[in-house]
Amino acid sequence: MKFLENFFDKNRPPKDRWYFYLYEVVQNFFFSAKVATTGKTHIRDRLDVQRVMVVVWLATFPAMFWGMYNMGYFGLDYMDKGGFTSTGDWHNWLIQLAGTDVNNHFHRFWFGLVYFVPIYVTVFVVGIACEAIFATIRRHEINEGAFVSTILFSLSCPPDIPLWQAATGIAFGIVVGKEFFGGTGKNFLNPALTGRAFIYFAYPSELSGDMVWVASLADNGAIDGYSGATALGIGALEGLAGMQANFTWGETFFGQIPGSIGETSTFLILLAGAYMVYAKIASWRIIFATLIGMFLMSSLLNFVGSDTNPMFDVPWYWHLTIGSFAFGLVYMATEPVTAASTNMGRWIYGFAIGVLVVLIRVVNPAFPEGMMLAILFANLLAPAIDFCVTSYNTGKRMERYNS
Amino acid sequence: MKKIKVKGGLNIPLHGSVDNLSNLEEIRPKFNAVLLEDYFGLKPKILVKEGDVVDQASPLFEDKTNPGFNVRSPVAGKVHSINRGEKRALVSIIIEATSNDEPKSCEISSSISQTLEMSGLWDSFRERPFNRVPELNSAAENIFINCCKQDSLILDPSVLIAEEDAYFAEGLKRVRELAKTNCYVVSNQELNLTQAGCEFIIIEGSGQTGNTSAHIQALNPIRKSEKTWSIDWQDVIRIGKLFINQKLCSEKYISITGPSCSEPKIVLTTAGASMEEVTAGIANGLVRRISGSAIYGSHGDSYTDFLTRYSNQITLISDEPKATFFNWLKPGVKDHSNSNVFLSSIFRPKAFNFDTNTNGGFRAIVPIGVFDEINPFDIDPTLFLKSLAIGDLVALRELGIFDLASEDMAVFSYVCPSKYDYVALFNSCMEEIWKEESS
Repeated sequence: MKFLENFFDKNRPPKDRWYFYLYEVVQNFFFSAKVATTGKTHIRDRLDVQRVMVVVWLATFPAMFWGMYNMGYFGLDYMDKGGFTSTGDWHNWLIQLAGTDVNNHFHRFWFGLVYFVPIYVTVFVVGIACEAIFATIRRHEINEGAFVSTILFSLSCPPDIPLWQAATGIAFGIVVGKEFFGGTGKNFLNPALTGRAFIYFAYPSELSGDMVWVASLADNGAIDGYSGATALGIGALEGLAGMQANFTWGETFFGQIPGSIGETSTFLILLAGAYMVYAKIASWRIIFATLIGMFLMSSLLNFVGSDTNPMFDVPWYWHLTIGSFAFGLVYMATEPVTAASTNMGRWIYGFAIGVLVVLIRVVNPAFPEGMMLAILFANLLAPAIDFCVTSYNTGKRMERYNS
Repeated sequence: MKKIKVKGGLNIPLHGSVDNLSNLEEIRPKFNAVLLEDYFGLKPKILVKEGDVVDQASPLFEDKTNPGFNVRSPVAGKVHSINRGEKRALVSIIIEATSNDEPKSCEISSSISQTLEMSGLWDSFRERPFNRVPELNSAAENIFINCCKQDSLILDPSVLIAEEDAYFAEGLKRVRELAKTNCYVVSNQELNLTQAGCEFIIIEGSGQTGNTSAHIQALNPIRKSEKTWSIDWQDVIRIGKLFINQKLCSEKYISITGPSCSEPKIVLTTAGASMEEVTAGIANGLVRRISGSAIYGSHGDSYTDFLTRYSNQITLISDEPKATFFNWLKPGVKDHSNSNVFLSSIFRPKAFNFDTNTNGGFRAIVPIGVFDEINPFDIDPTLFLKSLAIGDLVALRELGIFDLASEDMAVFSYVCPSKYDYVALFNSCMEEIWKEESS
């Protein structure tokens, strides 16, 4: 690989060229930077932002692979029950390369792959292009954070999302959620969630309801006695009893439920979360605080009870496994740039997410899912939380210093 | 004997530590220098010319902002060169030693501060918040004597203090006389010394909990109405030698350490010694000579390749940064990181090799929580470091910049995944604040 290294070193453009940062990110992909330290600190930790993002990216893999397999199962199961042989859209000829036997594990996985890969490729290309264009014009470095935003956005999409909507969503997320404010490190909203929220409100018919969570259901149409609704969607209408009639708690925990691609398996997501906490990339304070907030709020609502709203009775361990709670908890809430950045602030921030998500899920009549909105609200709160925490410390410090 | 636990701090396990005094060597280099970067906010009035013959402890330049305080020559000899940098600002004065005579005798006057000034030891003290040499003939409410092992490679100071205990005790007595109320002696090990009026404290913690800022914060935080000085164990020994022997003392114990050092050892040499001469023959390959530790030290060109005033250590690090193919997938069995992202977090090697690679590109600050974890000081690190990066002087004052010194920023620079240099940012912010406060 010496020739490639020499090639990159020889052709490295001066910093004032417009393509310098594009060149740098490509070089960084192949080789670590060969830059010596200056100043008084002569050695540096081996961890860099690129590695931080790679750890998060790798941590999404279990949820991603399970998501593909699970999506294949539900798609094929639906086709089997309805007696369809075609998915009814352009995916069909690729699906037919393997076959549509619902009992064949490879067919399930292949089905998921055929649906997920186009989404990810589209989102990746559009997202990185937005980042690269802004970096080139604004003359800032291309941050590897965009790689994480794109995979997280893809995993939060429903399986059958039209690709142009996915592209619009990630473009909005990267540009409005991040680049308007100066790029990774300066954004105050999670870019992946900003994009997700945008398409959620812009194209509600493709992003919510009972028809979008099983691939090919929207194309082939509903069949009698088959519901493609998510556990959370059922819960919103029929409460705990409704959910239990369709799924066991174990199924929701291990991920045998329909839903967005990456969100289904709470078990695998929590494993990935444990890895990120061990690697010290994700904040355990935020994760625990969110769980505590969710537990207290859902228990309070269980205690209060309601005759008209069945969601009041859903206990905390169902809240944990249904919907995107676990996915948002591990991958989105812990995003360091948009979270609070003091230790005390992290507790408050996480607690706020936990309380808000249950409030939105249970009390709010419009949206069955609350995690996305809860995290975005908490993102907005984070600077205020930090301000309050540091004001307290600052007040004590100045009082002592001036005494 | 009081024991205090301080959380935070980071020990960076490097190869090449010094653990004992077994191979102590004495080196008297030909070239010695005084460096201006050691003195914060000093405006020099140069008193010598190139080629002048100077005696030991004869003044080289005076500080216009601190009348009566002179920076003095560490050795007797000839002024070899007066080096200037940008805008003709003084960088260093290099003295070529003529002979290795016995140290000159020194008159002990009744005023301690006068005696220290005449012998070139007044700059042993530094006053917070700016870490400046204090005004002549003043005294402080609180004096902190730092006897901690501040770096994982350096020899524990308690070994040398035990070796020179009579001198240290004498020095302690003299330093105590300059303290109006409190005098704290902070160490990692028990020192087996007593001195009326001094409080002996053992600090338990790793890495930067040995920094004076951490001690001040734990014991007697800085107040505007009180003066707080700090002094290093080495200078206490030197003051002791001055008063007992009644002779000038410019010798220092230096630990020569680091992964690129073939023979880590202790050297008794002069203050401001040429690092090239002191490390001759034990540096492997293309090496960066650092006066200080690997995370907080100075290195430089021929003008500044000398031991700095407040360092007790020379670290040798390979200066050949290498590129790694597909670095982002590297398992990293031999790579140190504070975060557990490499296989080294499972196998836990005892020591690591380092070179001067930044190990990553420069990015915006991504506060993943490493700062909070290793922070031993009473600050909110992420917001503090962000304020440093944007130079927000008002916020920095409130966030506690006056409690800190630039050495405290080094560990944050080390762990920063975005590869910021917080030491440099801290120094430039402090200079701005000093300009505002002193005008």
